Amino acid sequence: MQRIWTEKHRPQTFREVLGQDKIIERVEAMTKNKNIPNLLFAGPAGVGKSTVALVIAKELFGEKWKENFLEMNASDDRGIDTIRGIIKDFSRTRAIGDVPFKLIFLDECDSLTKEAQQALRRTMENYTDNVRFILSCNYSSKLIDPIQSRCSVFRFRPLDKEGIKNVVEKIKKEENLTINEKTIDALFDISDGDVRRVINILQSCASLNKIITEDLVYSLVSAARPKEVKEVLELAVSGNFVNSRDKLLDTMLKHGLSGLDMIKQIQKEILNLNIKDEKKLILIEKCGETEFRMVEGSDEFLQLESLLAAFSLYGR
Amino acid sequence: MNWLEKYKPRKINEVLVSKDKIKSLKKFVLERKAVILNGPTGSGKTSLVYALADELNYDVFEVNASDQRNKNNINIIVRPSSLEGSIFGKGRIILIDDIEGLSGTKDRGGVQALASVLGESKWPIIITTTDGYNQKISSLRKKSALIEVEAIDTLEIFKILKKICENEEIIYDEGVLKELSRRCNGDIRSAVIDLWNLSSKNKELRKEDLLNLDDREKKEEIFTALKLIFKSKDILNVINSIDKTDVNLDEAFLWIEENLPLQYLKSKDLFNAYDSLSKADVFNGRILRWQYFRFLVYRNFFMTVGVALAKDEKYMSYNSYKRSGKLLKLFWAKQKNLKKISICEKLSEKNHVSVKRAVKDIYPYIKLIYKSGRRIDELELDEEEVEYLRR
Repeated sequence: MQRIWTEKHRPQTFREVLGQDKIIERVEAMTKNKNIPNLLFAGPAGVGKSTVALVIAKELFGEKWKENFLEMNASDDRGIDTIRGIIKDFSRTRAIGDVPFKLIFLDECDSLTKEAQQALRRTMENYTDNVRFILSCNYSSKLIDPIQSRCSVFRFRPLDKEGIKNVVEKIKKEENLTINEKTIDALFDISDGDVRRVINILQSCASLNKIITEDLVYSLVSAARPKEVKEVLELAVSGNFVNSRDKLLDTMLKHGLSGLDMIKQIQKEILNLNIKDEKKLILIEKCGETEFRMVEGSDEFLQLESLLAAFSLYGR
Repeated sequence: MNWLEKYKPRKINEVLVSKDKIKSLKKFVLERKAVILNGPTGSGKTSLVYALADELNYDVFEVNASDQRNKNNINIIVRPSSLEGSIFGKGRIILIDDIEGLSGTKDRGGVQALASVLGESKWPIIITTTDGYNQKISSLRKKSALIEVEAIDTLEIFKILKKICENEEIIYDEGVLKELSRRCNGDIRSAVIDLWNLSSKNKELRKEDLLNLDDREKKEEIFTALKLIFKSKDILNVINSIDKTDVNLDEAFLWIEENLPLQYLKSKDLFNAYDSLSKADVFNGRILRWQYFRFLVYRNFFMTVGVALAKDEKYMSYNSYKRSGKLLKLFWAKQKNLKKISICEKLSEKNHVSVKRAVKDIYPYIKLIYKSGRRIDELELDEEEVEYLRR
């Protein structure tokens, strides 16, 4: 059966988790003692937060892990009330087996509003007897202090080159792929230390050719990435603001991209623009300011529009 | 004169409720039982009660949403009148109009208090509601009979509107009347108000009126505000420009955002104005995050005065203003992406990630794999979804 490689190659034991050695060391010790506090996993996407949570569950509960483990994602359109309802139902019964608690993994907690986080905090307090929480988030600063103070915090870092290399080597062996050193460099280059992305790229490359070359990787990544960003910027620079912003909105909607996804690409694209270097510097600064305001503000698209206005002013 | 008052059914045979329902209501009233009248807005529930009272020569003691109906008031106002006799020996109906208003924080305990009044009352109590099966009034349901009042038939509404037009000597187009009758979804009250509104200018009812009425009035207002913001630098007028319209701040923001690049043609002006809008949006983010509504002052300031002062000199040309297409685009994009989302829901489940993350990080690669002719059985996609991915 054809499987998704990110699942097929997901580590099942602590030993298999690559690139997070220090975290694994501590978490493994806690798990062995069958006594863990509430945990908070902070870090970017694709570095192993969910994987470690799943491994903890499997190590703690063995075959019965599914009965004792509840996984939820806070960013999917469910209100905090629904989440609390589910937690309540789950916590009503005692854990099965010799571990005195059940485990709840709540992913992407930083997408909860402050009020929802307060509600979550109360829920966490209500079930201290028979439930442990593992919360995960991209930015721990987006979580309210009372939650942070109730958790033992682990900061996951993007994988370094060595880590990514180990992942690639492992999959290369198990899937019978041919990949040379240079291709691994390329994979690291575009990965941002995100293992999920690397594995997704590998699987889509392999669906075309078992011999994976640098060129194949780059062409595939650019095929998966919208090309319109460059056009949007060029329109803005040439002073065609209205068309530029229409195209921007269309691109975001077509590919389901958020404002932050867009700004990452815009920032990368600035260096390739055909304008003076001094102007690139100004635009990078504007880009940073826009990203900051986007995090603070309410309407990502409006913030991007205002960045485009900077492109039409300074870009010429 | 108020048309709602003027054309209200006064006699029981004018009420547009079926004969057998009227008959059973009458029976309950004479037996002094409590009744819940359940039916949509504007289906004639309240009129029915008054017309019946008229027929029976009863008084109506009405408590409606404008009165506070908490526990205390029910006990002080409703309970006594349900127990005492009437001044001239006339019968009495106690009408609790629109019980929905009785839920929520203000009317705490009201339902319980009312339930106990139902048990003791010497007079028939009629409760009207649009949501008769709501859990909140279950205690009342147990002690009352329930009569369903249906929405009024479009044809009946049409007949009434036609009669009103003839009576008011309004020149009308039958098509427009039919449209009005259809649009109101069985709510005769709103249909009469619309008719009154549309024909009040020149006693004539044309197709164009129907299409434009509420939109047009709103547009004129926002146009005035936009003109002030884009064309003047008169701070004191600009700062209140949006307050003076019926349009809320969010909608006004969209209007300004849409039209700004069409109005400010110099890049420098455009940049400054967008910078201001961007600051306004930052304050909006803070309002939403902290629920600190005093920031509205700053949001309003940056989106009005900030934009007005962003221009170097006034633009003289007049252009008309465009409605923002952003929300519509968002809506259509959502419709178009439904299939994609349903695929990503499956991806999300199998991959321990959120749907949003699946859309961004996984979907593009899965699409490539499917386009290359392969499949991933584990995902359990149906043929339609596979087809969609391969397009």
